[in-house]
Amino acid sequence: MTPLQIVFILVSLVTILSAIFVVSLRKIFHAALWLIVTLMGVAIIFALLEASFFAAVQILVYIGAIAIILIFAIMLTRNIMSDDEIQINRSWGIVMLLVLIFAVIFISQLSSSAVISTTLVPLEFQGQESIIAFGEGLLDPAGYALPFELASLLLLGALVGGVYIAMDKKGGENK
Amino acid sequence: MKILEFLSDPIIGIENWIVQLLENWGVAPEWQTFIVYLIGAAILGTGALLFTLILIWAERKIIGRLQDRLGPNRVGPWGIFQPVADMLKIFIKEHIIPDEVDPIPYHLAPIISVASVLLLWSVVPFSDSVRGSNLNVALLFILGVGGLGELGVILAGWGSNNKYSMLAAFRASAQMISYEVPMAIVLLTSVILSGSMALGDIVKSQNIAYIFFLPLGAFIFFIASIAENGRAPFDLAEAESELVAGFNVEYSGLKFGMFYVADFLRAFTSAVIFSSIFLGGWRGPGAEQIPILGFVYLLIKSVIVWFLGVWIRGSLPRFRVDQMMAITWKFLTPLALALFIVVAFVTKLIEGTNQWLQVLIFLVINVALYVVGFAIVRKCEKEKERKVVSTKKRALAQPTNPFTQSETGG
Amino acid sequence: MLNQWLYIGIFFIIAMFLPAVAIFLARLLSPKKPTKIKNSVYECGMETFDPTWIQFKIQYYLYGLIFLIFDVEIVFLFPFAVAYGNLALFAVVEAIIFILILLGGYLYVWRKDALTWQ
Repeated sequence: MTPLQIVFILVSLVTILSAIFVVSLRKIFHAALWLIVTLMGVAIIFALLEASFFAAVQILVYIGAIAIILIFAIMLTRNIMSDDEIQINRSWGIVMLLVLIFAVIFISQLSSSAVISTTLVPLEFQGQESIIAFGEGLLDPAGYALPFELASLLLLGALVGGVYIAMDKKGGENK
Repeated sequence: MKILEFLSDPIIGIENWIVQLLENWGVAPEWQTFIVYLIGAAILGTGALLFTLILIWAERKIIGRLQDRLGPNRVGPWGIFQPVADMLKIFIKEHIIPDEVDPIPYHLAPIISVASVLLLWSVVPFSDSVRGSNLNVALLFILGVGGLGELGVILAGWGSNNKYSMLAAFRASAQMISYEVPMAIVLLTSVILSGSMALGDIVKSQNIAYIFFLPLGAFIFFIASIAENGRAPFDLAEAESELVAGFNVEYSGLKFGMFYVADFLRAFTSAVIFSSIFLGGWRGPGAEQIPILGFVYLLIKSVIVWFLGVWIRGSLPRFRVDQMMAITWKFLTPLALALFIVVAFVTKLIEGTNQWLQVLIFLVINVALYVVGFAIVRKCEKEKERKVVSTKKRALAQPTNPFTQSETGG
Repeated sequence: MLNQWLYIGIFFIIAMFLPAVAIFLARLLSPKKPTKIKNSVYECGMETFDPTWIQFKIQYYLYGLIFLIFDVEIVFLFPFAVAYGNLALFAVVEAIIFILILLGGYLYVWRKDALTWQ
């Protein structure tokens, strides 16, 4: 195994484990903290794949903004620290077994197929070039110019909708 | 001759020497890079932390002078060993851990706070040859690491099991995220000029420092970075009159010391980043030939910017929380957006013309935007009536002066 | 490119390691004499009441939301800014339209007074 593979396996293990914590912990704030670890793991995997831009975006948007928003949202809920709710139902054992069987079949099938190969392919663009190519593609009318503009519309919708729901309807007063 | 060569670029010289040494020992090339990186990172990190001692002393001395005090003056000449004494003291202080803290966030917070500052040093270019990492997304990385700092604050506030720290942490993080917006937009404009997000390339492309192209951008960035660091006049998160001392009330001993170190170091680090982006970083006469000069230039520029920040800290009163939010969302952000739009448009139009002509055009645009922005703010301020803080009428305090009363009343 | 990230990874570990070691050493050196009063929560000398982790106001969430939208917008614009030198004027106009669409939302938020701290 190359050092790269060892790092990859370690990081993915941490990512998966913390993702399991996110869904299984009862204290919702702790779940949010573990979510940050998960997102960090994903950022590191992006970096390992030489997708620098997405690694940075993952840190900036997901850890810097979405995680913070989540924590703000948690603070809006009542009974933050109460952990009386039971989070698993009675048939969790059977479900676990089924999931395991499915996972074994799925992974064994996938790893034997040639469609999904896991070798590192040298990138066409290196370093700064890759971002320049990305930017050109994003704004090229024959490329992704329309989705780019639509993304702005989507953001507009999210902004207006979010503020509309969050603010009280009576003349924007929020007391 | 060899010595002169070494002296002109000692870091690379030492690096080559270490690589040579490792090669003689028969270390594989990948591990050579790894070990060199490890040593470099360890030295840079420790150096930055130790440098904080000087920063703390200098800042206390300058603030003292600004406020007509002497500042530290007992331990050593000009009190220069004061931070060392402070450090020793804080090192052997008791760690008081309040009951019912949330242990993991509580203990992790000071570490993350320091790490989020130290990490910024990994992308700063110190000279043409010496730099940690010429990451091709350095600016996004800088912004993202800022988010890590917010996380440290929130963890501290949450973990402490104290309402004041909680409140302060939320205020601080709201402040930090709000000021990140104009900051990021200004960074975008500087990327348009340089055509690269790597800090090393940005410094290299500054034949004329970007502050002449974007004085308004530099102004916005400077204010935003002060606010992002939570220093006066934006130090609402530690408003001692309302929030006791901010998110770190419940920390004692070296854990508090870590927040303190992070605070002082962050001020200087953002000065370093400011001078890399707007003042040309290590560039200066002869810096290409003699790389060690690059360090000196970067240090001088950063100290000047840092001193400006300290000066502001020593002279301005604190903003109110609504004013602080209004400054970023109603003034800096629209201004930065306008600047970005105009720069994006104009740069394309004047592409290929004389560089000095470009500087002139940009200067005019920046000044015009600034004047228009301020005029609009002034107009709005005049039209709007001053906000009544409380609707209830309160009795005014009327101190009675016995001396004057006896004279006039008698 | 991977080398650059390797350096940052090493730096991250060192940056976490240094303060952690310092705190650990200080913990060993410092006295430990906890008492009940000393370990109580500091609240200006008053006895604390009610749990700390309470409901907060929605204002923080609103700022977070607006920030998130702007953050994503800026992330989209960064590749544009990097590729700026190779782009035609038309692409620049596209990017400006991108901002202007969002400015509409910004104006709405402003009119709604969501930007004013209350």
